[in-house]
Amino acid sequence: MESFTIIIDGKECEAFPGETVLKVAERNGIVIPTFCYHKELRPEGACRVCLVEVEGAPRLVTACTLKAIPNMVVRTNTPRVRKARATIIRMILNNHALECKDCDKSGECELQMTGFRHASKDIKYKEEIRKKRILIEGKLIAINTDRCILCRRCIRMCGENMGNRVLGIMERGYKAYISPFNGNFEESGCEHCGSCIDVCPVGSLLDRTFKHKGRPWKLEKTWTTCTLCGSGCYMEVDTCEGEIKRVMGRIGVNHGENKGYLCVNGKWGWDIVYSKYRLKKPMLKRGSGLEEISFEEAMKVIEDKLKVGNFEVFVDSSLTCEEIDLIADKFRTKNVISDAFNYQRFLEKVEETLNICSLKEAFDSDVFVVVGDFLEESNPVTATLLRLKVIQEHKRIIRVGEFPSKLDSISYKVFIDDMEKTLTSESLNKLLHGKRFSLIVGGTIYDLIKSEKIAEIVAETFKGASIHPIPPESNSYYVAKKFRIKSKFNSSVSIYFVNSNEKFALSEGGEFKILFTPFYDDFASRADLIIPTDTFLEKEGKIHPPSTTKKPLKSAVKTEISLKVFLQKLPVFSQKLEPTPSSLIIPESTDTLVVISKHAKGMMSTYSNHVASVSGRNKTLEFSINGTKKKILFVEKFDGKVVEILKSSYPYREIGNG
Amino acid sequence: MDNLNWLVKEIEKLKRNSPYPSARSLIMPALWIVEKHFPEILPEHMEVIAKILGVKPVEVEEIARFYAMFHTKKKGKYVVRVCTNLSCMLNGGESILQAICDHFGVKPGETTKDGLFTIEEAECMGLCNGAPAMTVNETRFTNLTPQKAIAVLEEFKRKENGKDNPQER
Ligand code: SF4
Ligand code: SF4
Ligand code: SF4
Ligand code: FES
Ligand code: FES
Repeated sequence: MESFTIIIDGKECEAFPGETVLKVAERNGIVIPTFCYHKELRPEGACRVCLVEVEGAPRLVTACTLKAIPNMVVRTNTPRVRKARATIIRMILNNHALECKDCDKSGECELQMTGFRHASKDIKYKEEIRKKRILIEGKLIAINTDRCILCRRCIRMCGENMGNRVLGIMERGYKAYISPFNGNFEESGCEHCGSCIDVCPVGSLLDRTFKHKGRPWKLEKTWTTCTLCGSGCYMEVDTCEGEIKRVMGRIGVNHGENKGYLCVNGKWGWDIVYSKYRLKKPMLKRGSGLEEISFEEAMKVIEDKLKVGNFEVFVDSSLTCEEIDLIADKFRTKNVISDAFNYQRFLEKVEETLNICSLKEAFDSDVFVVVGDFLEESNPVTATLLRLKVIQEHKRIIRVGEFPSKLDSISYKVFIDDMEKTLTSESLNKLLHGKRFSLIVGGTIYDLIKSEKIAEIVAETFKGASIHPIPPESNSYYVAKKFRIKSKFNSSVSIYFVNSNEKFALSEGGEFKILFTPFYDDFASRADLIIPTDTFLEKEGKIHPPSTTKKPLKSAVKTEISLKVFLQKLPVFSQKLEPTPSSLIIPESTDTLVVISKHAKGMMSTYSNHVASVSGRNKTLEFSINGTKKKILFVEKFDGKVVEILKSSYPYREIGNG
Repeated sequence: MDNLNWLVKEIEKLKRNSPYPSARSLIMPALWIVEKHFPEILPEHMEVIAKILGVKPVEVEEIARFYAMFHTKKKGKYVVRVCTNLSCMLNGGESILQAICDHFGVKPGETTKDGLFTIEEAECMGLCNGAPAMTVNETRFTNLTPQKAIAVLEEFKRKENGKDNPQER
């Protein structure tokens, strides 16, 4: 694009067509105060604090909405501008609660900062403050309306960027306030992504779990990666005296792939660290009960057991690369099973003829063929990022699935039909003709009975194209690359490394079951030896998405318990027995799909009280698609029943009408 | 529930006969249907509208609560809007409002005990040439005096009392 020059405060600045004066100023180190402007949001010009003087224009203009044009001369710091700014800030402060001393935002509040810098020092209030005294309290989010400056960032974030439009403005004039429909977040379809809180410049939208829990300037910040799903979001974990107080995404500042967007699990699921289910000591089955033993004793039991029998390991695909390497190193066996089984099979099929690329590389194309359903449940932030590509960069999504999706409303073209049919259809082919496109595959696709068939079709139809297979778990790709995964156990001793116990409950192990897990629950009680491990927030390490760069984990809280340390102390166990080739019988497709919601994923709705407070009940949904009836079992929480259902169809997630 | 079913049918009809390209534009006409046929616009009404028009419920609530002509709190059978904007104020609009309120023993924004009148202070209604003005539901009354205004309302009341059930809508 051809650039041109504009003059801001006497400085020649390079500008590109379509850019706003504010953007150009920002890049050139010229500070213009803002409130309603946010890098990630569509500019709206609601607060008017960014007023600047433009030569030839009679009135002051808002820099955040003003498009730069060649030879424009802009002044940001004249007495006239300064006075206007100060007046705007004064008017905002006039009806602001000014209760910084007990506001959670104090210390990182944009009104404080901009006020200090740009308001006049001797503000005289001519009118009495008008208080609304409306406090809206959801399970995890609160709105203190007297602190709101009506910048509408939250509305644009929730409505446009997240596509939820939970929030709106009620009443008008000085009575106007922000609220979800009927004052109720839960009933308004709030997904508790926390994005509205993240962009609120003041202490109006609040994280309730952080209320009066700490002052921002006292918090220690640790940047780490969420491994609760394959999106692998980069996030800031704030601790005070060794305890987690909150998690922030920092939208607009965060340089991670997720740009600061999080889902409820990343934003609020940190309380799993303090879950009542956390294990502290190893436990050994004696008689009908379990008995606490020491780590040394546990190590002995493992040594005894593995000396005699042959063994197998289950490797959870949300462990870190370091842990996985250690497992492979210490337990030398080809008998590896993992929840990455289905992913691996898909990957291997498409790898033959397509280019596996990172999400970033896939995003370079102009058109994305998004194949699969319920991405918003399996990888919530990846679904958000796709949405943003459309609304911010005007790229195109062609969605190929069998169920409706939230992405449909922003997709260029939606195919809801048998995926095999769509993928080979003439109409899809025509749409892609001459376009720079990439395939982005994910969601429930890997767990379908026809998954391999779809992979074959993709491999055949799109030879040579780039594909990003979205990993369902944070380290699915690494596990899939590292091991030859089998579908079933058949040795006498089985060793499970899991981060959530449904994975243990789902696959049938041998006579003696050793379980490495952070949590003790009903499912864990089926093990013979249980050894506590650390959660992702306590770990150091890396995860490896389909990309050349790995993502780092930094421990935000210290713990005595460490899977890595335990593994390092273990001797090497090897077994010569070759695994019996897995004989996976592929059943017929059924009409009921089990969808694991983001709340149920990793059993978050069990281990995290925060997540549990906003998750719903398991339900069956019926769809009629092109004349055929389809059903969904939507799982919000794992219980014995769900595990039984899934076990009967393992490793698939389709169930018959039984 | 019957009333809700009726509303569903009405709004579907509205949508079918829409002159507008986008369903969003129908939020106001849809709310107006509720305003005219129900004593108040309730969250369940807004949900019905949102669902049929394919918008989010909060978008309907925003509009319902922005405009003074939509009532999300229970209103009387007749909404009396007394203008106190510039022209009317100069011609005594404020004293008309005061007189009516005194006469019925209510404050602006309140409803009379018999549920008949909700008295409201209104902004300019475009009846400046007949200032001071007021409206009772959709009927206009201009060139008022406090006495005339009270007489108008008393006449409404007299007619209502002649009916069996003044609450019936
Ligand atoms: S948490 Fe997310 S979905 Fe809920 S109101 Fe905020 S932005 Fe909207
Ligand atoms: S709640 Fe926060 S983000 Fe939303 S309008 Fe008010 S100040 Fe802006
Ligand atoms: S989308 Fe996945 S990685 Fe991101 S915050 Fe949610 S669970 Fe964590
Ligand atoms: S930042 Fe430009 S108008 Fe608010
Ligand atoms: S000022 Fe009263 S109708 Fe215009």
